[in-house]
Amino acid sequence: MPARRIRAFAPFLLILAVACQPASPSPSPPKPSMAPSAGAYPLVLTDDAGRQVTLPAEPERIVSLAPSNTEIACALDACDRLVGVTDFDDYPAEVAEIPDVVILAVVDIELVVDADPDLILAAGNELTPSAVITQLTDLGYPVLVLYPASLDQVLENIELIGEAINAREQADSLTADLRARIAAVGDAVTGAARPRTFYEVSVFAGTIYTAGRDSFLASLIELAGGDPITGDALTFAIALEDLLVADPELILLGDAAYDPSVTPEAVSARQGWGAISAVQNGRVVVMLADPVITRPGPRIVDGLEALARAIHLDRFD
Amino acid sequence: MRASVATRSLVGGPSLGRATLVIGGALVVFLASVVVAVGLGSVEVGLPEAIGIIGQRLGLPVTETWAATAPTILFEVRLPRVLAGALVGAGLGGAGVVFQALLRNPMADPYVIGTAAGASLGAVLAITAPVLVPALALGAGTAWLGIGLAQVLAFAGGLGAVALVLVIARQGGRSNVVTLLLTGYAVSSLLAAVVALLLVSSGRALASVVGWLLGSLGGAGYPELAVAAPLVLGGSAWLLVRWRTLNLLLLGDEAAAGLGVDLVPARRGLVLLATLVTSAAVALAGTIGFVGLVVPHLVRLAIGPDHRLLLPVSCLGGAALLVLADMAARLVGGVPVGVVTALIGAPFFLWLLHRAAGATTTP
Amino acid sequence: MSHLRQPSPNSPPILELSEVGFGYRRRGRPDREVLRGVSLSVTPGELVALLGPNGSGKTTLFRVAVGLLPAGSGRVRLDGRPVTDWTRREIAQRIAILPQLPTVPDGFRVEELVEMGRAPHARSRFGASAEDAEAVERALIDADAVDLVGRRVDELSGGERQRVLVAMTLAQEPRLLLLDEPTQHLDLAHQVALLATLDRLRRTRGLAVVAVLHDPALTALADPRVVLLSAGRVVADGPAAEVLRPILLARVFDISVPTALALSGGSTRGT
Repeated sequence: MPARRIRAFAPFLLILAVACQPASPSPSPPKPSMAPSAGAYPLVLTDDAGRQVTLPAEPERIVSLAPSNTEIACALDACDRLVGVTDFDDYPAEVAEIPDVVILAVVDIELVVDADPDLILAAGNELTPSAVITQLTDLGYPVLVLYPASLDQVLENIELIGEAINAREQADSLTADLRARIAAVGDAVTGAARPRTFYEVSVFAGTIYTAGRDSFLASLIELAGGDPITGDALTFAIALEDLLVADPELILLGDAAYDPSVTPEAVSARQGWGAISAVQNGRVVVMLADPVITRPGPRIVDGLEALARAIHLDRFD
Repeated sequence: MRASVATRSLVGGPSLGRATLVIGGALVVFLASVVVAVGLGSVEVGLPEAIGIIGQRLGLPVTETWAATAPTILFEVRLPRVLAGALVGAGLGGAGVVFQALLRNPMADPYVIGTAAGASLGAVLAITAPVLVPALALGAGTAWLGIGLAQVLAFAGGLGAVALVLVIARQGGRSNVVTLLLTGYAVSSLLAAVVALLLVSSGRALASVVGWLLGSLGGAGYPELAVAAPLVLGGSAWLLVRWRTLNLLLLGDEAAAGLGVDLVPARRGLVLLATLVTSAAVALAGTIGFVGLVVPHLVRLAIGPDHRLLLPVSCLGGAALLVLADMAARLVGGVPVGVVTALIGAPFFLWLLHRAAGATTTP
Repeated sequence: MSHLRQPSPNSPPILELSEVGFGYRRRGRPDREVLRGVSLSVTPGELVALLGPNGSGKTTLFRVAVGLLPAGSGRVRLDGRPVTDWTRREIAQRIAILPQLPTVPDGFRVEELVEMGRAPHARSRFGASAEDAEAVERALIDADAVDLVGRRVDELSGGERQRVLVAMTLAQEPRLLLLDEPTQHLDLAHQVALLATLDRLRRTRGLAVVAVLHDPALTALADPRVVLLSAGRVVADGPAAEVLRPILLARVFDISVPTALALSGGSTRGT
């Protein structure tokens, strides 16, 4: 493939893989365990891939291989300890100053080594290729693999990273805050009828991509009070016939956040889509919040709130 | 009888002087490319530092002028890649020459009788198995003698596909060159279709699959190099001494047999050795294209078709090309080396065709 | 069928075909027979002109003689042993074939191509020995191709290329030469020279030569033994004077008798 194609392809891959992680992966990896909060190093933690990772001292130089991990680190006031991030990182603004060690989704090992980290935060589910994780582990770096497949697991990841970098207090206060907001969303949508909701991740080369069955995104939609229409668990695709049979009452356009040509009018004009209830009732909504909905970091709750608002506008001010 | 000294020096292939010059020149080019590639990368560890680090490793008293991370970058990250590039490039360059002579077809490359398709199938199966059958979640730690499962299956797949092609081609009676080519094409297409199917179902492993298919020298560590090196170097050495047979095969089957070549065993031996080398190269780095096709032609243009020199120089040239291509890929960042070789190879190939078309019109 | 032969020296034949038959097997159809009961013996120092119309089996005869094709019936013996008992290399050290339509690969120079003829004798792994170099030189001189040294073979004219190919065959230093239409593309002067060389080589070095000649008139130059082949059978085998009778030629080549008479040089031949 020419380089340009890869460039266009990469964010799509990232979004797909992140958004459509199965909510309950099988085999389920052991949940991260934490030593009693004594803040004493050396520390042994179990990450989302079931690996035992030893941290000899409090990490001063952190490399993050995924935007979600970067956001978590910054949310825990450790932005100044980051020495390497990815070129997709865009939040918070400070990360623009930090050198990139992951370019176009390819981890540059030389740059990682040059950054001389004492903790590497990798992403699971092959977002960071397992070969790279092996290579970095073999080079002697502590690598924490994070793979949250549900909202609860995101919160657990925040606590895990907090434990790892001696920021347990910040982690606890952040998760408490997030839990409160999640509960608030739950309260707001209790009792409301669940509309059949179709979340469009992308329409690419004639194939429609959406939340996979039992995926993270599907679970978010459920929490936000919708009844998600899902695609194949493996390929995340759904055939148009199946979509028509499922007949969503609400269509959320996640790809509109990246592609200005995806508008409610354009969608309504698509061949065969006119028969869908959501199109006929004009309930096709642009989801500019897609970047936070699909990033399993602290702002995912912003995403949840955006989803809930889109699904049950009447329940919010 | 006129025993002219002038004729004597022209007669009988390249004189020792010319041979030394040509092979020596190729060696110099190869070593220069290694030196340059080791000194360049995303991180500034230049040639002076590299020399210093190596000197220190050898026990010489050298003042440290480099960052603490530089030795790691040099020995653990950059050097394996450069060595892999040299090994794979040499293997593909030599195998390309052999297949072009064997099949009497200038468009032949080392993959043409099924190696690439078979190796791809093996590797992609290994990469996608955990996704397709979760119970097989083998994880990052799967290794056999320290080598990843994808490499082992790729090697086996390459050999297996060629074996299949040879067996099928032989069913049609005496296997001749055209039958072999066509069977290779058919089997490759079939296997490629299966790979495409796996590609579509690969889910989260898609990026890994695509990366492997495009080829990359990043996945080769010292354990893999230690296993691949004897296969590639040994196989290539054995091919090098068969230069005479390769020259004779160019004359056509009948003339070659008339000059003493036992066709069936000779061809079989060449196919087996070249496939062994190619499969090892593909297992190490994925299906990197164009090196096996372009390098033999380039070298032939420079020094002529006599396999006595063509083979060793193509090995050295292929090694140099791939090492430099990988260096370019690393400097640009995130580009698979197969893309760089394609970018070099395709225009060159068009130029070759243009030149050939021009040549046929001259008397 | 007369098998009058020239009195041959008392050496055993290099090549001996006894009642050799060969046919291409075809599925569902009767075999296409190309050779029928061919018996032919060649001794050292003989020059044999093999004549016959297209399709009479001349090329197939050569291929069967060196074992490239298996005889369907009869025996083929090389130096007294069945040809199947020899390895390809051993056969190539004794017999050299110049095929009718050889493939000439691009890019080789004349001396490199001729040196390939040394392959059956080559001992060195890395290049030509002094012995090889001398053989190549001799071959180039004998084939009158020395002036072509240094040029690329694919840039030569048809006649020049033919001389180089003859040189390659001679470089093989065989004891038996099988030449399939060696005079094609050659101008008259070179045709004459080639036949003179072949004649000289057989007399001075005991080389045996079987040459397919298209033109019966050429036989006048060297007075060889002539074997006439028609539809896979040996129709005549003997001195040129006896074999090249107009009536026989007319029958075999399917031409009129006066034409045959004119071609066979007229009055000195008996009718």
